[in-house]
Amino acid sequence: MIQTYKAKLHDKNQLFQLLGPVFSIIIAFIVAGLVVWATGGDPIEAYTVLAKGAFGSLSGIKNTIRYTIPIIMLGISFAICSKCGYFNIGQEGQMYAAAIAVAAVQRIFGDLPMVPLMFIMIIAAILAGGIICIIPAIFKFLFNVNEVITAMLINYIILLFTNYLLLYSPIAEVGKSTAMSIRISPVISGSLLLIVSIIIILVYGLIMKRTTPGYRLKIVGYNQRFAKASGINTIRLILIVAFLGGAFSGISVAGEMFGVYHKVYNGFVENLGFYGMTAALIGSKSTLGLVLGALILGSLQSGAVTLSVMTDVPSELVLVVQGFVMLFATINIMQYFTKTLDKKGVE
Amino acid sequence: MDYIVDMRQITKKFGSFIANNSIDFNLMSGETHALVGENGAGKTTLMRMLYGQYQPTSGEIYIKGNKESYNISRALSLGIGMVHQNFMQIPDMSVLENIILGHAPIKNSFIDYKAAKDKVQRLLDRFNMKISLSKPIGSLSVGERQKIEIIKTLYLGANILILDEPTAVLTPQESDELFNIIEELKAEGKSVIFISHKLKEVITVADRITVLRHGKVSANYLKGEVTETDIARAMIGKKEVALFQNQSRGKLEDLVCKFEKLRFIDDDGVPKLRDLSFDIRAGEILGIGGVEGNGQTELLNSIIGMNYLSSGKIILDGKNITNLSIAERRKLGVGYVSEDRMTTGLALQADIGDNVISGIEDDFTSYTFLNKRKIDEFTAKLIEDFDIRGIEEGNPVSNLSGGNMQKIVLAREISRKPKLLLASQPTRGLDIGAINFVRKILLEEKEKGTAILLISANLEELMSLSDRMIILYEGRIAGEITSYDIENKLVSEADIGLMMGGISERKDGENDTNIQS
Repeated sequence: MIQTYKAKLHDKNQLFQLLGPVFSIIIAFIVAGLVVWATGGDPIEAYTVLAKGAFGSLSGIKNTIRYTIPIIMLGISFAICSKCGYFNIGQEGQMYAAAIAVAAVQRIFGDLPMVPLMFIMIIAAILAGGIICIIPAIFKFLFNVNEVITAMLINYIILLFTNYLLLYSPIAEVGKSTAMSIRISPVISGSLLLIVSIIIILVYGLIMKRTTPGYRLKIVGYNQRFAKASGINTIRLILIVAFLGGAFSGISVAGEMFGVYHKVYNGFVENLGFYGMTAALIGSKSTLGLVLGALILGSLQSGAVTLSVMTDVPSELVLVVQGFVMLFATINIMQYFTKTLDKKGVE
Repeated sequence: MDYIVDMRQITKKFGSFIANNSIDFNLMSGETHALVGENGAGKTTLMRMLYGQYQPTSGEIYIKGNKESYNISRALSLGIGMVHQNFMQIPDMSVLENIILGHAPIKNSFIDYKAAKDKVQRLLDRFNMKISLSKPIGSLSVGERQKIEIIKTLYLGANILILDEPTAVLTPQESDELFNIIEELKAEGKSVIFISHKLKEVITVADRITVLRHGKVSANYLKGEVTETDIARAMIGKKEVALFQNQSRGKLEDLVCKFEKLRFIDDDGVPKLRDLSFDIRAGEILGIGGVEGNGQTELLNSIIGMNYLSSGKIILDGKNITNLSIAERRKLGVGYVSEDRMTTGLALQADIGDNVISGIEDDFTSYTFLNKRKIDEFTAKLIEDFDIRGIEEGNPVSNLSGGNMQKIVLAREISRKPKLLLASQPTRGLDIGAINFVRKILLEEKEKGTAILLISANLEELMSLSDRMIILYEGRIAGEITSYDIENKLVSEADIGLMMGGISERKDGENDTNIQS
């Protein structure tokens, strides 16, 4: 009798955990709506237009997917690192490094046919992102510096270095000194990209939940000392994971360059890193949540265009909503409720 | 009679769980009242109600004859102070700052350090404590920090002091000092509530003893009219309490592990192990005694591979394992029951399954995926074999009691059939029932031929379980006690106490008292 009751309570907790991200998102929308209402706009109209813009037409949906996929990749980049307690906040730096690497490949191997060229570019992006992401981890183990600080500083270095390269380096284009372009045009269809992304997500989810590397990651994340004492090589694991985190940043930027921008310019992936982090926070309990979070953030971006055209509400509303989603995802309100339910006062 | 505290018919429920069931508890001024019971008997819950942290579900609390209902801050003004098991201190702040934290005297809107210092110094003088007030509190020893906690409650004006297992982390000498302080407090008319499950202490210190069991008062005793066995019976509610003892000392079997001139120098350049050499045989429990911090932790960490030796060799079964990784050592048969089950022993947020497969997770896969059924079967077997209770599927192990947590650790290590089992403080913080279970398991392992290295701060435990003992002092062997000596009680606790203090009296006549630093 007691056992079944406990089981029920347990299920309820799990339900809450699943609903948690949804709840955060809803609250974010309500609060942002209040902001719109306070500034004289009509929140319901604004949200309707946003939704229509993001999902109302085929091109809208395509656009939404286009914005969602890189956020998913960046979400994985953050989530995989945070699983083992490594805080990967340097995604922007990793993305710029990967972008430069892609542009450099274009300069050096530009004469190769399209498919091998793309292949080399992807490898280069993965390596560049991974190496940048692994540096703070190495510093952490060698000098005991917090990875967040190192990553933030590295971000600045890379950002400014990118600017320098854009202006003066041999891989920059003479005459068009503000950008480095690549020759790749979208030879792969959007739907293929979508399928590949879905496969990546599924494989990621499966690895995390059902395999020994995923298990080790989880244990290291729970308790590093314990993991070490049970014979898990924690340092090696964290270094590998840091590399993978950077690799996913690299993949996301390769996709952006192949499919959308075809060039590197100053600030071309601004804020994307933070969206990835938000998606990962929303989905801190499940990969599904991550995808959902990325979808929300992506659709906000794609709906933003129509918003400013169709209504008086400025498209910056989207930034406000994103900000609130980020905020509430971090707080994770539902966790508070589940904790109180869980509480046991007996010592 | 005039009670300074009178708790009447106190009941506290958490959901459907009754933590305290109509408990009557009272305290006279100037007395020490010990509250005894197993973990989970409801001692802490009862005290938290007295301290204002919880409100009773039903029942009344009278302080100095007045019925009161209050929270923590009001409890302080009623003169009730609690010294917690885990000190509430900020390590980097000075002793003085820690004491006056939140209650500093103010003069002209600034903290009046002079007045504070005078007041605190007077308190310290009164109890003959020589502690520098300007030192950061983190640099003090555990015993000193505890004294500071007591001074703090006195500074806040407490005349009813609740000490929650104050001796759990103290050496015997430090405990004695604490008891002196308690005597002095009593002499000043303060009342002390002493929570403990060390029966010997309770008998020495307390004027009255209340025993709790399953949330109810199971016995009341007055000083001098009770023995340890009486209390133990009242605590666990059984007629017979005999802790397991090692019954087969002195068998000589094959050598399992040889430690040659182990030397370890820590990051600050302090040598923690100084050319330590010994060996251990199959089916032998080698007890390692000594005051904490004399190299026990470093020795253990060097054997399991958490840190690497500066020099020396560890040879397990003829194989040099000195430079192997933790995983490789474990594979060769080193098991490790950590002294701290909360950090190195378990992943608290993980469930039991995740905890027991850690390190051997590769054995639980089929087609590269973790096989949940295999894990569940393995876990279920361990739960049954080791009588682990309170497991709810998928729930984190942090909900379990200390005894059950320790059972999980033991179950995991022993299921891997170690040749050499390192057990550090395996019974620390456990209640009698769980202690006895752990002892039984260790002795069973010994019978199976496992070599067990037992590190313990509890002399009684070392003496009853070990085949042989060595006492560490500043990273060296300060004394060795053979199974013959233990069996025939040729060494007294006092002898061992001397060894722990670095005064060596080896039976072979080779004395090395002057240990250089």
